[in-house]
Order: sequence, then structure tokens, then C-alpha cells
Amino acid sequence: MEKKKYWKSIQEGKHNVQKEGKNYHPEFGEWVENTIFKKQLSRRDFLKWTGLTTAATTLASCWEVPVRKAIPYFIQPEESIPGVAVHYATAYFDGEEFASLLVRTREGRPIKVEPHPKAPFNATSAKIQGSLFNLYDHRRLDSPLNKGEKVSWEKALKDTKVILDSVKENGKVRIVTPTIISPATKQLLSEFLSSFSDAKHIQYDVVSFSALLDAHEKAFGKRVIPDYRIDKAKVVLGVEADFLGGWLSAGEMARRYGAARRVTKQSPEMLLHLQAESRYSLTGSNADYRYKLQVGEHLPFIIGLYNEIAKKTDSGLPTVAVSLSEDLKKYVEEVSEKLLSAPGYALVLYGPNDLKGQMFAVAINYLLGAYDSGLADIEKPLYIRQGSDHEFFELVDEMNKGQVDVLILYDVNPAYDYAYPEVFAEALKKVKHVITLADKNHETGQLSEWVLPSSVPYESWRDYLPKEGVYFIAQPVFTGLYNAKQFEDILLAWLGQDQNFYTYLKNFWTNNIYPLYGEQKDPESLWQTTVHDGYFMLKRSATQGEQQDGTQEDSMQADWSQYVNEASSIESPELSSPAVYLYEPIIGTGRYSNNAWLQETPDPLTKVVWDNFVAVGPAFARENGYKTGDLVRVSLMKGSGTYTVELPIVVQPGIAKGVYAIAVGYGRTADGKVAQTGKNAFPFASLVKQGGKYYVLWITSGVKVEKTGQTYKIVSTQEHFNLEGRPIVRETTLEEWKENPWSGNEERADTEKIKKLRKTTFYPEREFVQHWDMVIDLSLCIGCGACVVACDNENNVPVVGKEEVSRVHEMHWMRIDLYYSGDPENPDAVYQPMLCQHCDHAPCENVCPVAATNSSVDGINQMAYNRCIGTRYCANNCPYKVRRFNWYDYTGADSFPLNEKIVEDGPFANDKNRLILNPDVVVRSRGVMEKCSFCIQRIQEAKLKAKAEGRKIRDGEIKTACQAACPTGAIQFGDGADKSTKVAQLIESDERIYYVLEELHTLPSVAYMTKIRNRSKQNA
Amino acid sequence: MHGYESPLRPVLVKGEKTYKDVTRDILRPILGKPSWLWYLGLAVSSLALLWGLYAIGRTIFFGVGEWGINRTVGWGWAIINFVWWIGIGHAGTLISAILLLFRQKWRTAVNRSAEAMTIFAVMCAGLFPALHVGRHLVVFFIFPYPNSRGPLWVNFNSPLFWDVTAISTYFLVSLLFWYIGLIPDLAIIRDYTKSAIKRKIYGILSFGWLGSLKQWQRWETISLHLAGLATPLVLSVHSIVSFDFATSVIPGWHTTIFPPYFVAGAVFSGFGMVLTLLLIARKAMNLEDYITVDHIEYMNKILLATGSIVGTAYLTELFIAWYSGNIYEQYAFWNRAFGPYWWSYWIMMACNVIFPQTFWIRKFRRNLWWTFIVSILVNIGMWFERFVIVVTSLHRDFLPSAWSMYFASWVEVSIYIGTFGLFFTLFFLFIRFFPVIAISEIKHILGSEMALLKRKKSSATVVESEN
Repeated sequence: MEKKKYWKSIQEGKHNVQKEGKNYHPEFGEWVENTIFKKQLSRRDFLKWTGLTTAATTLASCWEVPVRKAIPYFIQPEESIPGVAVHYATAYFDGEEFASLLVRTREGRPIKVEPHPKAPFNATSAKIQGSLFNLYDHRRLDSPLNKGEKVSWEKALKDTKVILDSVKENGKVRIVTPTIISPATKQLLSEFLSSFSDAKHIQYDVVSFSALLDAHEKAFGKRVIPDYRIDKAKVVLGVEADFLGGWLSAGEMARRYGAARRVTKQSPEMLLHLQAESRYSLTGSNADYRYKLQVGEHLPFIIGLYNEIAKKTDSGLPTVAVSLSEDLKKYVEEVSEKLLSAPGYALVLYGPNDLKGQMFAVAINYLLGAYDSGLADIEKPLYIRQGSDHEFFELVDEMNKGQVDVLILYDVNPAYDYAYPEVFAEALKKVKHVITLADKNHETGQLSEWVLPSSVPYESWRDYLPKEGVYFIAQPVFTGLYNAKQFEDILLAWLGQDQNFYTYLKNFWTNNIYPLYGEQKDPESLWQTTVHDGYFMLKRSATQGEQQDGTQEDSMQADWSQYVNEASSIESPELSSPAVYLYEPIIGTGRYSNNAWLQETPDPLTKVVWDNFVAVGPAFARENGYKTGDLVRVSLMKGSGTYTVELPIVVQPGIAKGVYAIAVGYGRTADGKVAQTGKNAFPFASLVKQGGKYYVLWITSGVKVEKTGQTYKIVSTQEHFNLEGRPIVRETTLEEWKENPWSGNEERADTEKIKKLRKTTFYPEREFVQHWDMVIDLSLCIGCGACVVACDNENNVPVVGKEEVSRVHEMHWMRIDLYYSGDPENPDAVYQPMLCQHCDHAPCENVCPVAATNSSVDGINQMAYNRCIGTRYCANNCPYKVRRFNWYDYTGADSFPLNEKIVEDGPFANDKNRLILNPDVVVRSRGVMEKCSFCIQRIQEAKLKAKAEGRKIRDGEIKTACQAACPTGAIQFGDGADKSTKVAQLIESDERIYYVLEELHTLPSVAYMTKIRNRSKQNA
Repeated sequence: MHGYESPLRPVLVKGEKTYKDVTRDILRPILGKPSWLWYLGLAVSSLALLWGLYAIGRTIFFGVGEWGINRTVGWGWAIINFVWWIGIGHAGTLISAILLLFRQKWRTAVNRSAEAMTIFAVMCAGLFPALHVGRHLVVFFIFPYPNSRGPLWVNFNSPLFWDVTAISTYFLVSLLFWYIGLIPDLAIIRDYTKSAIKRKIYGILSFGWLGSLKQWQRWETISLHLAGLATPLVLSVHSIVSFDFATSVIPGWHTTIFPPYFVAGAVFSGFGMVLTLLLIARKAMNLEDYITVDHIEYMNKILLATGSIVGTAYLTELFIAWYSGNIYEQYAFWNRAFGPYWWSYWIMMACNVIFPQTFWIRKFRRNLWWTFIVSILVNIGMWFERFVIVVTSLHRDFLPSAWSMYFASWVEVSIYIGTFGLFFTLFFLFIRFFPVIAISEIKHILGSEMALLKRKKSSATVVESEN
């Protein structure tokens, strides 16, 4: 054997020094060195090599490997630490709903909205939870358009300014916006308007409250909406008012509703909710007593109710002749009793945009003392709706006459959502110059000469005054991906002012708002505080409160008689069966149509996704031979033509005979692919003349509905609404619960036995130092779906589209189960949020062959996605069926684009939309199981923070996304092992606590609380 | 070696056969040229296999989303077919191992093809668990191999892991058993064939078998040992497959009766399949003298016995569901019989419980056409049994909100067809290249059978019954 040779220098050791001999060790192996490097390659070998390398490169380049660009910070902003989220207080108003928010941003991009923890109006609906998506939507306009051609901003602003300057002296300028609640914008608008000789600002509300506003103007001289404090009410009656589902302000109303409905042992009273309606609305489904009205009966009902209450209160107000059916008489009698049982604490909300009815509703509220007690707060009213249908009607008239020279449309889309879109479109042609300011080139934009991309709220500086005395500052949380400008900045440019709106706003506040506060403070520091906090509240002045004492009431008596006489003289709209009832669905009225999260959030009452439909009651369907999925042709004679759409029937319990309920907001023609689902129902609204003014009414008679003989695939996430007598949902009545707190939950009354049973196992008992528990109060869940959208956003839940949902492939981690009971013509509904129950003895865990799902030390059932091989055994063995499988590559996490089943325009569709994704949560690839994680990323974040600060996690510090989103506060979350937490105390001592399928001994971490209906025993 | 032979027992080999006759009869298809029917059969089977491969390709390329399974019904045709094929694979081992231990000599005529069928069926079955997963490329995670991740082991609690272990063991033991049985026969082919290439190949395959006394002795020993090993496997494999369901919490799955019920069902379906195949094979290959009507009758008796066990299990399940007082359990069984999938339940009941009961009557037992029909019905019925268990239990379990329906997609159906393709392709190759009847084992009993035949012929009391 040769002696080992140690080299003496680097040179000696290097192979390239010595290329021959025994000690030569070639770098690439002898053969390679000898043939290729020594150029001894034969012709045949050369050809072989060429062949091999060509084939290899061809194969390797067969797949288009996506290029993902990441650009690092060249200069890192001081306040931004990669991986650490920054929260900004801001506010959001879409022309319908207002909310004060906290926006979570990561590396400069907003990824989640949460309700502001302190400010008022901090409630979110499904729409607001999904609103962030609109910020990124790649369908947004990226450049100004002139007659459809892209132009630069410089040119656009210069040219439009020329247009505007040409009409300064002698021309009509009209500007249409949604309701503006920004004081600074209003000021700026008035400056802008006053620069013209004839200019007018018209506010156009898609969901109109004209009649309600006008009724209050007639009664109180103020054209405002009183702030309905249902959180303080004891009895509330909704008449065709879907106040939890979109009427006025869904999130905020739901928050107040939740506050009034929360029952604890300390305060065992709850709001009594009555609902009279013909359509079965989300609100109606939550009512304690629901009075089913026939088509058009809301008006006689409210008048009859007024008569009854006027009589019973000895108010001396005149009664009004009205003929009532037997049912209505009974209803009126019963409802009036209930309303009058809580004088000063009863409230009537009347939904339809019908002046006559609204006036009587105002009179009833007056008689009930709601205005005096501040329950309907007219002193500090709401400003979130100010539009007038009549003004818009007059504008269309003016346009038709060719009188309007310049029409500026900001953030409105009447060519889609007006009751007569084709009339509006015609009228638009007669306007000399139309300038549309919008985030997208929508239906109206396409008919406009100019379309200027305008910013959405999250990109804009703005102030808001949704309610008298409560001011908000909305700061931008994003610089914006798209080449858009804020509406106000465009106005300033047109005014020729050099400042931006931020400076304008700040000056406005320094000069106009802060002085109202009284105390003199440094405006700069006040401004800093306001922007940081996001809101600013004026102190309630003492003098305002004293104005409403008893003495004033008598003096108004005469006025009220006159008011009632005026109300009764107003013509009532002609309504007869059958009629179309329009309503606002989860996706809103058009602004959110391209929002895939909202499109895939199931309709609360039918669980249908991705479509609007004609909802009919079961008896009516039987009479007419309708079945769910039948395609019908709905047509309405309107003015000169007939509006016809073909929509599928969905049989929904609880709807009155003759009612065809259709959701608006679908069937967009000028938006993304997602928005084009369904059919536009806005043209089914009618214009009704009452008291000399026009009102847009969402109830229209005279529709013709005929079967086409075809069927249409209608897709829902739940097929079976019958509980089959299973104790999965438990409910009781308030009366029974007061007598026996275990009522409805009697199975668990023997606490000792339950404790013993829970501990019965032959495995070693698990000890928890920390144990995350969730408690869901079924009394508070109204089924609105905000949690579903919040979860989608927080956890990057894939949107799978209609086709995949139809194959039962939907991916929601959180779903809201709906069960109907009782008479199908007027049923009770109960909602049950269902998510991973995080069982301590999880059936999913022991069946996974690769241990991809397992239990954490703090009681969370966790998923290791990269370990999962996708046997789906866990999903099969989950009694709650909450596990979701990535059947296809829904997220584009795979590198082969052919595999992707991504919804066009969904959150994963393209690089711009993908910016919405939460970087703290893994995007799951094809073939793995996923499910609720109790927002583990939030728990980890809080744990790390607490650890860094050397303390325990505080109770309530961690809020899961669903919990934060829930407007009624139905969901609570905390450490159940720490006996001092709220959740632990509830689980320990509340008699309403129960677990779903507890008998399986899965030991879930999600506890439910028995639903309480505010009913007497016999009505249970 | 041979003990007492009952004079009443029918003869197992018909016709006065010499040892040479046996060799010639059985080797005829191997040494001769195959008929056009064989080519046609092979072509059809391979086409089915290719079609299945295309469907498998789609599944792997696009994802399990190509199948009709969903959120609620996470297992569909794949698992049904898996259990079905595994069940079919049971007859082989039962015949070879258990009947060998019980010294049931009639098994010699059928054991070879039954064993082959077992192996091919297990191969078909094994495809499904590998295909039904979401991530095909990491399916090896299921094996407890040493690794640097912790080490991270599999979940030893999971019945799916037991499944993998049980089935791979079963496959290995069956394969060994079958192959060892083949060795002497392969040597015979080696000796008879005129082609040099064939001689070479069969020579390698027969491991240089010479037929020495020592070799025969060792051969018998290992056969017996393997039989001993395989016997508990017959019981364990399907018991473990049943654990996939029995250890779960789903009503209709969570049943302690499952292990014996599944084993009986497996033997039932296995014999069904053996009958179907042999009835064709004996006709096509002129083996009526070796696979006699008596053989068929024996197997029909087993069908009757196992069918009755299965039927009893169905009724027991119904009774227990009612008796348990558990509303979920009660609903699950009510739903099976009267829910949206009622037809599957009644097909299962008819095919598995009602039709095999005709075998109480001797005439039916010995009627080859009726046997053929019933054997196919049994296989249909057993497929529906798995459908009923997998689908109707899952589609409506605890929370009514999650209930859904399941319909197989064309891809799933195609994969099933593909496994038939695989099975028959292999079977056609088998009958062409290997002896379908164990020559050495037949010869082993030939002496005693011929003696029995002579005794019977000389006695006038024996009544021969022909088909």
C-alpha cells in the first residue's frame, strides 16, 4: 500500500497543478476529465452528448416556471420592521355603512380590518370585513380615460378644467355623489360649487332613505335620520326593515342589537324583537315574534298600529280610516300591547321608502315616547343617508331636457343601480360633458366622456361625521397600487388650488372642528391625537339635554294632529299581489359585486352562493308549481319598455304568498368576472309619487313571472335545514330560563355526573397549563356572515367558485349552520356558527397515519400542512365536518399553472389581488387538509409579546378574527385553564353552556350557549 | 401419508388420468399457440388498463378534485374498490393456507388460480390507497422509515398505518406462497418446452429445481410454514381493513361487529370471484376433468356459509342500531334502507343475502349457469356493501347542516375499469405462461384418487352424477 502523502502547500494540493500520475484525482471523475476535458471525445460520443443535453434542456424548459419578483427595501423605513404588523386607526364609509376601524398592515400593505377597539361605530358587517379586497381588486382603473382612451393625469386634469372653466359663467354644472358625511369635503364641495354660476350637488343613495328623511323633516323640521338606539330599547318592531341585514347600517345596528339581546344572570332582561314582514329577512329570522304580512300590508299595518296606539295612549291624535284584515287586526292588537308595555323604551323601524308609512311610523315613535327618551335620537341624529330621490329624479329630467352642461358623477353608478337605468343612460347622452370619478370603469363610466380613477377610502385622507358630535379622521393606510387620485384632490385641482386635501383637511379641522371642543389646546397635538385615535368626540353640551322635557310635548300636540292629517292625505303606493320585493344581499348593492369573498359567503337564509334568485314561499311555490332551480322569466312593464330577466327560483320558508324576493347587486356588466354573476334587479324598483315627490320603492307590483321550462344550477353550501330532533342546537324561552336556568339544556343539569363522564377515559388525563376555549352564545348569533368573511381574509381561505361549491368543495373554515323549525310558512330559525371544535380527544388526530394533525399543549388541534398527505380520513372522522380539503390547487401554490383552479378575480387570481394575503398564514397547496386554527398566528403573536414583556397573557388580549368581526359579540375567546378569565367562568358556572355532540367524548374547546328567545312559555 | 378415505367422497379428478395425462392437459395452453380469443381478451384488458392509466394520470396531475368526493364524503369509489379488491383477494390465501392446513384435497384443483387471483387483486387494491391521497409525491410518509426530522414517525395509532402494514405483509406472503408453489411446475415446463429461450427463462424461474427428495422435503416444509404464516393473515387483513371504519366515530362505521363481518364478507366475495373465473377457465381451457362440478359445489357451500354470516351481520347491525337507543346510529341505518341511497342497500341485501340462499338446494349448487350468475351477483352485492358502508354512513352523519350527496365522476369510474384491465391483463398473461392448476399437487393426490375411482367403478352402489 502506498504511503499517504501530505501536501506541503496549497499549490501542491490543488489538482490543477498536477494533471497526470497516480496522485491525480480529477475533479469530475476520470471519464469526464479524459474524454471532455482532454478533447478525446469521439464523434459518436459527441452526438450522444448533444442529444442528451438537448433533450434535457427541452424537458426542463417545458414548464413555464413562474417568476415571482420580490424587491427588497433599499432604504428601510424607520418605523417598519419586516414581520411586525403595524395597526392604524381609520374609518370607512362606502356611502351606506360607516365603521371606525383598525387596519392591520404588514410591510406597508393593509391585510385586515378590525373594529376600532374604543371608538363608537366600531362594528363590522360582512361587507366591511370584505371591503379591503376592493382596495386591491385588479379590475380597478389604472389611468384616466377620455372616451375610452387612456390619457395621462396631466392631460385629464387640464382638459377637464378647461371644460369646467368654460361653464363657470353660463352653464349648468351638476355633481352627483353618494351621501357625503365628511364636513371638510362638504366645505370643499360648497367652495367648488360656488365657483360656478349654476351648480348643484345631488346626493344619490342606492338604498334610499328619502321617505324616512322627509318624514322627519315634516315632523321635526330637520331632514335627518334619528339615531335609533336599539341598544337601549326594550321592545323593537321592524316593519319590512331588515336592519340587521343592511337597512341603514348593518354592522352598527347589529352591534346595538347584540348589546340589547345579551342575557346574563346579572341582567336577565333582553330586548323583545318583533318583526312584521312579508319577505323572510335576516332580521325577521331573528325576531322573537314574527308577524307575516301579505303583499303590501305593511302600510295598512302601520296605520292600524298607529290608530291602536293613538287610542291606547289617549294621545288625542286623530285616527285614520283603514281597513284591516282579520290577521292584521290581531297583529295590531298584539303588537301594540307589546310596544306599550315599555313606554319610552319601544321603537318602531319602518323599512320601505314610502313616505306615508314612514310618517305614521314617526308618529308611532312619537307616541311611544321614543323621541323624548332619546331612543330615536333626533338631537344627535345620523347623517349616513342624506340623499333625495326626488332631486335625482329632477336631475334626470333636467338632463333629458339637455339643460345640463357638465355632469360630474363621483362614486355613483346610476346606469346600473337606478330604478330606470336605461332612462338615465339616455339622459346621459344629452349632457354635454360627463365626468365620472370612480375606482372602476363601471356601467356609468363607460357612458361618460371622462373617467377619472378615484381612490377608495383606505387610500384617502378624510374626515367623517356619521352622527352629530362624533367626528372621525380616516387616514390612508396604503399609498395605492393604482394610479388613482382622491376625489377631493381632483376638486382642489379643478379649483386651481395648489394644496393637497391633507393640508386642506388639517386646516379645516384647526379652524372649524377643534374650536367646537371648547377647551383650547394646541391644534397640532390635537391633530396628532385625533389621527392616532381615529375619532374625536364633542362633549354633550348641557343645554341640549334640557330642551326635551315634558312641557314641550303639549305645545307640539296641535302640530302632530296636523302632521297626522297630512300623512293620511298622502297617496299610498298601489301594491297588489304578486309583487317583487328587492333586498340587499351580503354582497351589497354593486360596489362589492366583484368581491369573491362576499360572493362565496352564503346567503344567510338559503345558503345560496354566487347567484341571485327569486325567493318564494313554500305554499306559493306549491300553488304555482315552482321548484328550487326552475328558471323563471320575470318581467315588468316600465314606462316605454319591459324589463325582463331570467332567474332561478329558490323556495325559502317564511315568505308570504305573492312575494317574489330578489336580491340587488348582481349582474354587473362592466366589472370583473366575479361581478357578472346573477342578474340586475334594480330595474324592478319603481318610482312612486307621494306628497308631490318621487321616491324609489323596492316593492313593485305588476310583475309577470312565467316558467321557462328550463332549470338552472343553483348552488348552496347547506342542503338540509332540519335538525332531525338532534340536540345540536339547544334553545329555550326567556320565561322558562328565568324559572330554570338549565331549561333547554337539562341534559347537563346534573353537573357532577357530567364532570365524572367528562373524565371517564382509560387514557391518561391531560393536564393543561393553558387551554384556549371559545364560547359562542347562540342567542347573539344573528347569522350575518361577518365572521365568515373575516376568517377568509385572516386565514387566506381559498375562494373556489360556483362550480366547485356545487361539488361541495367549499373551503370555509367557519360556517354558519342554519336550522328551521316550526311552520314552514312562518318558521323559527336558529344560527349556529360551526368551526373546528379543537377537541381534546379529537377523532381526527388518532386516524391520521402520518400524525399531521395533532394536539398542542394549549389545547389546540393543529395541522402540519407539509406533513399532510391528504388521506382525508380526518375529515371523514370529524363529527362536526369542519375540515376542508384542497381538492385542486385553489391558491396557485403549485408551480404548474395548469393545475390551478383559481377563481378569476378572486384573492389568489393575480399578483395584485394576492397582496391581500396574510403573510402570517401559510397558503395551502393542493392535496392538504386545512381547518380553523383558532387564529394560531394571533395567539403566537400575543404569546411572544407577553413573553417579551414578562407577563401573562391578559384575558381578552387575543381576539380571533371571527370574534373581532362579530358585531353582536356572540363569540368569546380566552384561556380556559386560567379560572379568572371570562370564558373559564362561563364554562365553569353558566347553565347555558353545552358542547355539541358531547356524548362522543371528543371534549371540544368550543362551547355553545343555549339560545334564548324572548317569548313566554306557551309561545315556545 | 394418506389416511382414511371415505368411499362416499366423490373423486376429485375425473377420467382415468395418468401422470402424463395430467402434465399434458395442463401444459397444453402453455406449450401450444394461444387462440384468437386469448389475444382478444388480452387486447380488451390492456385497453381498459390504458384507459385507467389515463384517469390515474389526470388524478395525479390535476388532483383528487377530479373525483366526485367532497367535504362530507371524503372517501368514495377509491376506498370502496380498495376494500372490494382486497376482499376478492381473500379466497386465494384461504384456499391455499387454511384448506392446506385442514388437508382439504379438493383445493389442489383451484388453489393456483385462486392464489394468482389473490395477488392480482391485491395489486389492484393497493393502487387505490396510493391514489386517493392528496399529495401523491409524498405518499411515502406513511412508511416508518428512519429520518432526520426528529425522527418523525408515523402515527402508530392510525388504522391506515395498520392497513399499509397488513396489506404489504399479505401481499408479500401471498406472493411467496404462490411462487414457491409454482417452482416444481415451472421446472416441468422447462423440461417440456422445445424453445431454447423458454427453457432458459423457465430454468431461471424454477431456481434449478431438480425434483430431488431433499428438494421435495424442503418444499413441503416451507409450504407448510408459509401456510401457517398466511392463515392468521387471512383473518387479520380484512379485520384491519375493517378497523379503518370500526375505530372511527361515524355512525354506521363505529361497529364492533366489523372484523368478523368483513372477514366473512371477504371470503364470500373472494369465492364469488374464484367461481366466476374458474367457470370460464375450465370451459375455455378444457379442464373439466380437474375442476369438477364437485369442486364448484364445495365452493358454493362456502358461499352459502359466508353469505349467511354476512346476512346475519346485516341484521345484527340493524338490531343493535335500534337497541342502542342512539339516535345517530338509528338514523344512519334508517337512512341506509330508506334514504336517498336506498337502492344500494337493497341491491346489497338481494345479492348477498337472498340469492346465495338458493344454495341450500343441491340442484342449484350443481347448476353451473346458476352458479355463474350468483357468483357475479355476489361480487356486485359485495361492491354495494362497501358502497353502503362508505357512502351512506358518511353522507349523512351527525350535523344535518353538513349532509351532502356523492356521485362518482367519470375519472373514478375509469380507474375502477382500469383495475379490471390490470387484473385481467395479468390473468391472461398468467394462464398463458404459468400452469393454472398445480400440476405437482394434482399428481400428489392422483394415486389415491385413481384408486378411489377404481373402487367406485367396481361397486354398483355408486351413483354418478354428471353435470
